[in-house]
Amino acid sequence: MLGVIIGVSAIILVVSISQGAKRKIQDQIANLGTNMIIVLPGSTSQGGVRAGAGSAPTLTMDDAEAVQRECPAVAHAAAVSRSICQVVSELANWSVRVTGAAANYLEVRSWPLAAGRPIETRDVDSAAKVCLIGKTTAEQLFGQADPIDQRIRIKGTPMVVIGLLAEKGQSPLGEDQDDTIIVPITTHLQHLTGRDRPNAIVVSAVQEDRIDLAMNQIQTLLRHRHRIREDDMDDFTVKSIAEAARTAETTSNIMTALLVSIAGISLLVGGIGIMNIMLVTVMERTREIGIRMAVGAGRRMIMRQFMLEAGTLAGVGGLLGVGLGLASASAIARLTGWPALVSPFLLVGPFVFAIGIGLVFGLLPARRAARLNPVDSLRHD
Amino acid sequence: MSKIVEFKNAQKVYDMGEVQVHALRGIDLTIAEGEFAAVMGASGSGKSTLLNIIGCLDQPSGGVYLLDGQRVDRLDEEELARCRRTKLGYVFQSFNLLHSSTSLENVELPMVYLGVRRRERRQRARAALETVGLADRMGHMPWQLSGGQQQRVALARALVNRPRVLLADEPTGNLDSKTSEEVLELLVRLHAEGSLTVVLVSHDADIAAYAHRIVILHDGLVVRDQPSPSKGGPPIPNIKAVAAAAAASEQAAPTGEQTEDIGAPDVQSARA
Repeated sequence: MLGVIIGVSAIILVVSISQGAKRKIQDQIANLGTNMIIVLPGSTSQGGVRAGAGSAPTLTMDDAEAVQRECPAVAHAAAVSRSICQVVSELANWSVRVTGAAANYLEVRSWPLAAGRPIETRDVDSAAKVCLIGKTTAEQLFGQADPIDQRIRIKGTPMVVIGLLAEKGQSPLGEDQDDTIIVPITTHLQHLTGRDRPNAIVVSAVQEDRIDLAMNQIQTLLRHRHRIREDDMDDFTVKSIAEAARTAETTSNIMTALLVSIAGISLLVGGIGIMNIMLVTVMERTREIGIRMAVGAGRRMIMRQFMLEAGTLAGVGGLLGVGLGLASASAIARLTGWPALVSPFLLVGPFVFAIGIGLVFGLLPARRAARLNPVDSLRHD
Repeated sequence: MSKIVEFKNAQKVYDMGEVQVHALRGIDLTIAEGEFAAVMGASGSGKSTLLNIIGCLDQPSGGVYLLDGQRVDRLDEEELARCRRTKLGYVFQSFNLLHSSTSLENVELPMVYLGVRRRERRQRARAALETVGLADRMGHMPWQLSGGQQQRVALARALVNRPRVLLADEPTGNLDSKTSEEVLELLVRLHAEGSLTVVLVSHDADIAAYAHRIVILHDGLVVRDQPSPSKGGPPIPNIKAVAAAAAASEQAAPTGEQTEDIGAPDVQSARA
């Protein structure tokens, strides 16, 4: 019966924790913006290996504006240029991911401001030396002081902080999204790097269910703008976060299924244990079975009696397993901070499965009991 | 009186690998409804085998067995079980009660397999225990009862389904003489009250004399069939003498025919 208890509780533990993890990842992805699409220059091979992505700068700022203008399923599109830069303040010297972006970048990312003012079109037009700063970076550079209107140097260029970004937390990849600085893209291209082209276009779709449509529209538009012939490959790559989320979900489901199967093995072992117990029980109760037969029990009745006993044994193990599974899931959730999701189906399913295992593995002992010879059984010890 | 038990040339062979054991060699026996018969014989005479076959716990390998007019020798296990449930009741030498059930539950057991509803089961079981004088022991477990009391519970259980035939295999074998007397007198009373047919197996002539008819087996055959001394019949012969004489006459006439001339029997005291 121990195998049944362990098997059932393992299933509950595994599924609840992985469901919780899946939900947490989904929430984080939603945090990023599930209707986000990213367009990267260069093509990728079939396997998704980003060998060519980002190599040839085939996207332009006009591409970004065109996408926003001409694709109906697109809400916002912003050209971005990213690099890691050394940032110096009075207090500290810090290496930060700096994103140069168009004015509508915050809309694309659904990223509100905690204080100050956003980057405006005039800042982009004039390549103004202004920046928005994330919470972690602000703490690194200014401690607890108000970051607004502070002066810093990014790669030697003096900049003024005009806004503080709201907290975003960790990305699904584990990056701290609050450790970041946003500058106008023109500023980034002209003053902070030697590039003349953005290295990505970040796009938000009108609605989550329009993502595929938006991706198609972007692809058609850019192929036309880049004058790509029908047979030729794209010189850019369009990816969506939603797709990544779907892949992550599939992977998570496969992992869960794998772990549940392993837990299921424990249940099977438990079933074998029940079978062994029942076999011994039948042997020890040979006389009793003989008495029952003498008194009028038919073979089927004897079989039913012992299968019921096996099922009950497994059922009790299942109940204990459910209890143990719930207790350990909540304990682990509290320890690690991962949420543990428990659905009613998760509680009932393994319990019913355990009973099923009991019945199946009780079949052999039950049959053996039913096949006993009454005369010999009555003579048994 | 209708025939309740009828054997025609019934045989039973046990196959023990190289050896074949002929437990019954050709039994012709008829028991009428309401009779009280005792089957006697030495060890190995086939008396227990015969009782098991009457009781549908075993089946003959050859010949015919009719129980209450129905051919039972060809029934399958499920149908045999139904016969045991509805027509037969057993009392064993070692009582054979379920150790982990109370007296009441033990008596209820046959009714469980008949599908009788709980309330009716309880009522009938209580009544049966009252009949055998154990109304105050309903909640007792077997180990809390004396041998005689256990056997009385077994009797109640055997009769609770109102069987046609009651079978008793050395019912007093594990009891002292006083308790044996009580149990046998109870048996006699129960037989007299209903239209019950009783078949008793015993090696003890004093016990067998309680019956109305004595059937003696030797080596798988009926060698004597006479009224019991309690019904005016001759005294019960010494079983060993019967066996010896039968063996001798077999040697003399190896065709296996039985002779009635067994010689002067030892007089065993028999109850009137």
